[in-house]
This record gives sequence, C-alpha cells and structure tokens, in this order.
Amino acid sequence: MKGFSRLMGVVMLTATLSACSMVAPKYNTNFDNVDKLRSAKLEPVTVGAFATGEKGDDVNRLTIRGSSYKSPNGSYTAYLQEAVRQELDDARLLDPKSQVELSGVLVRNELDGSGISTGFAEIEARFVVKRDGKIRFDKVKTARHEWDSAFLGSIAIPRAQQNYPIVVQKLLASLYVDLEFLQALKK
Amino acid sequence: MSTLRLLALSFVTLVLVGCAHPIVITPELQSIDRSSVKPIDATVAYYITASDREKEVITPGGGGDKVKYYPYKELEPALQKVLNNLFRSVKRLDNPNDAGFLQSNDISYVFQPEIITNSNSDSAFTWPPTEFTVDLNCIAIDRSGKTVWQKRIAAKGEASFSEFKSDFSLSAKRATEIAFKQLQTELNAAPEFRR
Repeated sequence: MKGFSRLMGVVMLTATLSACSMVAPKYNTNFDNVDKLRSAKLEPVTVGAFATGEKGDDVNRLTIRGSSYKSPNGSYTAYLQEAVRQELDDARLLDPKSQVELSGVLVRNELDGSGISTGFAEIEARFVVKRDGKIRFDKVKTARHEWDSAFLGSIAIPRAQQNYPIVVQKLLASLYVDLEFLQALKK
Repeated sequence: MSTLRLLALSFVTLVLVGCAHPIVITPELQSIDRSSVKPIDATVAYYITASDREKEVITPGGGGDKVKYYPYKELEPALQKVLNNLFRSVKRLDNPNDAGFLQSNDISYVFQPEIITNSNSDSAFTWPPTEFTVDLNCIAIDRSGKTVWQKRIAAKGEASFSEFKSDFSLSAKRATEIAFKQLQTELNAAPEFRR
C-alpha cells in the first residue's frame, strides 16, 4: 500500500510537471561577465527599452516538449532587459541618469528540449548604445548553448528549464568582449 | 487525462521511483542585495578546489527517493554575489599557491568555503524535499597566509507541496538564500576587513 501511495504521488507530481506551464528561473548574474565589465573601466549606463523584432511575439513564446515555458518577467524581451540591468548593476555601472543608454531588440529566441541526447537554446539580439541620443554602437549578437538531454521528459524537461538562462549569459558575454561595445561605453 | 497518457506517466514514474532527482540549489541572487552593505575597498579572491566544484551530493527526498545536486558549483554564484556586494573586485583563484596571481591582482584576502548540506521530507508521496539544511563554514586568509576570519553559519529552508510544485528546489533555495545573506551580514560587520 505504501509503495502504491508513493507511486500515485509521483504520478501526480510528474503529471504536474508534464501538463502545466513552467516558469523559467529568474536570471542570475554571471560574475565572469561582471568581471569583464569591471575590468573595462566603463562609464555608467542606463538601460533603455528592449523590444521584439520582425518575429514579433514569437520570441516571447517558448515551449519544452509541448509545455509552455514562460518568462518570470512577463516576456523574454523583459527577461533579457532584466539580465542586462542586473549585470550592469552588479558591475556598479547602472545609473538611470546616465546620458549613455543601452537598449535592445530580441530578434530570435529558441529553446529545444525535444532531443533525446542533446537539448539546445539559441538567442539573437540587437544591442544599441546611444550617447546623448546619437548611436555609438549597433550590432546583432548570437549565442547558442547545448546540454545533455534524455529520452524521459521528467529528466529532459528540468534540464531544459535550468539551462535556458545560460544562453542569455553567453549572449551577454559575447557583447562584453566586443571592443566596439566597450569603446562606445567609454568617454 | 487520457488513459494512454496516464500509463505513459506511470511508466516514467516506475522507472524513477527510488532514483535521485536532480535539483539546483542556487538562490535568486537578486535577493542578496547590497543596500545595507558598507563597501570595502579591497580586491579579494575565493578558492574552491576542482574536486569540490565537481562534487555531486545525494541527500534524502520524500517517498524514499533522493535528490542530487552540486553544492559548490551551484553556490559559487551566491558566494560571488556576496563578495561582489562587499568588495571592490572579486577574483576566482584556481591555484592557492599561485603567488604571482595574488600579487599581480593585489589580493588582500582569499575566502574559502566549506559547504555541508542535507535534506529530508515529511511526505510519503512526493520526492522534493520539504526541508533543506546548509552548514556553511567560511574562512578568510590574508597575504601572509594567516587565517584572519572564520564563521560557521547554519541555515534551514522549508517548503510545502503547494509551494514546491512550481519549483522542486524551493526548500533548498530558501536555505541557501538565508545562509548567504547571513554570510554577507557577518562579513559586513567584521572589523578584520576594515583596518
């Protein structure tokens, strides 16, 4: 009876996992990124608007094996904006009054946890730096992150959930090593 | 739910019963804010051995199942957050004997954590732990190699079924958040770093 009760409990939990929408983990700063920013001795920046591109709201809709995977910030454009804001803040570079503004467009956002051996996420975003209203930097950056997946959804789904934020970390890492970006944030 | 789907899920759970379920114990770093911190103008480093970073720990869950996670790898960001909140610059030290690294980066202190974790559940039906404990022992070593500060912090996090059904790691994240917030409080109050 105990074994049956446990089995039904696990079935309930797995059903919850498979059938309902999921929420991505809140973005956590990558401190290697912060170190890159701090080492570059940049001017303070304010974070402007992040919008969707030609794909429209498709970039804000992710699924993992048929279940909705939602952003904890309401949209993935907001998720990316919050990631940028957090890392600039942790680098002590965030200043809402700065005349230097970093804004962006989420061009493409893909998450695939369907593979039985490999899952992946790809993200593409355009980053714009303006100083006193004039564009100093305007480039598209792309990142991809892969992880070991599994046949069983109860293993593959949590792995996809936990790995998605890493692609955003990688995207921002690629931005912070761009010499033109760093130059745009210096006097 | 269709019978076919229920059978498929049952097959999945039969396979999983008795297995160790992966969780991630990293807390939400934004909750460890620096608003109450007085910054210290120093560059510090932290050291986690390669073996500790790759160490996977398995502790009890509910229903006879277990949970598995990487304490050092998953709590490294929390340590970075605390040190970054307090100090001017934080570096990762990969070799404690690298005198050149310590000198070229002007490292004032090296922090080394020891992390012991455990978990359990009062549920016979569901595997996520309803209780998670963290024992965090952290030391700080100065340039001469002398231990100048040490603190042991014990923290516990709890989560009920209605809370953890959307985040199976919730009790762990609550415990680790408490532990690292306390670490920040202790470091902020320590006179050893303000001489």
